[in-house]
Amino acid sequence: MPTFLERQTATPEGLAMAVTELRARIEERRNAAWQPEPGETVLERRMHWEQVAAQRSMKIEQGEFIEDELLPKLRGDRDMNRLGREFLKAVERGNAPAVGAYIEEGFPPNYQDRQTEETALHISAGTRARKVLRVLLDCGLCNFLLRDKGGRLASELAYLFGQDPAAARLLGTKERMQAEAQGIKLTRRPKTSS
Amino acid sequence: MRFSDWQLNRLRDALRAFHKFGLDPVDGRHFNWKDVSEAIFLSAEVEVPPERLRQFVEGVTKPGGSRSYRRMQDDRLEAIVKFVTDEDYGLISEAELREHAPSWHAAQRLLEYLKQEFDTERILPPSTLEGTYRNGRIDEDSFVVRELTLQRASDDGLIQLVQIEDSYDIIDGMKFDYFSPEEREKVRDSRVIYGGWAILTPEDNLLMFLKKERTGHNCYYLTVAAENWHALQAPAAALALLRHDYPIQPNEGEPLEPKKLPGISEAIGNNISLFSRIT
Repeated sequence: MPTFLERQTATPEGLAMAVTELRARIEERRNAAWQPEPGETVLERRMHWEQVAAQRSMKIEQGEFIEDELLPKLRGDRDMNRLGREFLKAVERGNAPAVGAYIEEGFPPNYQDRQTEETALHISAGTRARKVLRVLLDCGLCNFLLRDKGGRLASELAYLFGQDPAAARLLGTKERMQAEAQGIKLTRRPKTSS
Repeated sequence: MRFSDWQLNRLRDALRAFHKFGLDPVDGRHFNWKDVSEAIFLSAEVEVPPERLRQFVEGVTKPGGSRSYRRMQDDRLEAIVKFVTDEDYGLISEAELREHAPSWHAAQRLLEYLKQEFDTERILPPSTLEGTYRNGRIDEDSFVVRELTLQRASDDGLIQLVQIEDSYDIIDGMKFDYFSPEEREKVRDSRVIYGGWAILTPEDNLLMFLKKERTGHNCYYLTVAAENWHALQAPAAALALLRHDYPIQPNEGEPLEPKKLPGISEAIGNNISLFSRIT
């Protein structure tokens, strides 16, 4: 296993290369119409995403995949921004096979839109894209405590724009569980004035 | 302050969320309507009876099975607004309670600017334009159906717009016309709503300015072909519109030059849609 400094993603050139490779893998999946899909049954999907998560950790260790912590370094990367726009557009269109393929190929599911700071979770909640939301929940890689530019959690968008109380309740539970696990006091909005 | 139905629904959503998701910090139980009423009183010092509040949010089932929502007195509505936008509760922000639709001033100024000295009279948008129009098309991996509603023009000539953009799997999209409204809702992959306004220029161009409800992103439509709307005896059957958001970008490092024009024309052509009237 390479040390942190030996990883491909440790240098700017290596990071750019990782984005190029990610783009190539996603293009391949696009050409295959996003096949294969994660599976029909809950059990199949769970096993599939467990394998994806394990493989992802290994690839991140090896410096082939991009972890969430590296995203700020890629804010100016044209290729990454283009991939990010396409990923979030697939979320907004409710295209679950495409969203699943992006994550399988190593695209970071917690990528935030540069302008709105929305994540895939926010968009799927706000557009009632339930199939995409299921992929995001199944993959087990989402950070539920990320907020958009308005300071809103994904659960809030589910009831404000998605008209989806069931999704709002589910996301709210996930947010509370993550906050408790991390010892964070969860507020609906960060305070804007003291 | 008067509230639109859209704003009343947004207030209902916020109260419903507080009632459903809020937890009592002492014993961890979910809030009931009495708790919500007390929270409003603590925030705004106006009493809203719990049952009245519940009927405002959840509505009342009528004998025929339909649901109607109770009206709320103005002072109580103001109290609810104060409560839901209270930073301590942070249910919604004041910005979220404002509709994207008008600022009418911008539209009025644009109309004034476009008025030509030689125009003898001001032509208002004809009522034949009012209604809902639909366009369905394949967009990458999805079938996207856009329903654009033009409301009756105001006395100033301004038209309020709503666009509902639904996405479907391509296979479901091909069967869209054969699905009932319930089936469409069941197979729908996502929904994005836009609000905005339109004006009719002296040349009979409809200029439409829309904002995505969730993020405020802009989207524009411009008429590219039209019947003589003023002469029509029946409602307009269709609108041919050019949809535009971001400019078409050449590949990185490549300059804009004449040989790029065919590609640009093709891309623009793909953004032209025929919206057919549905109501």
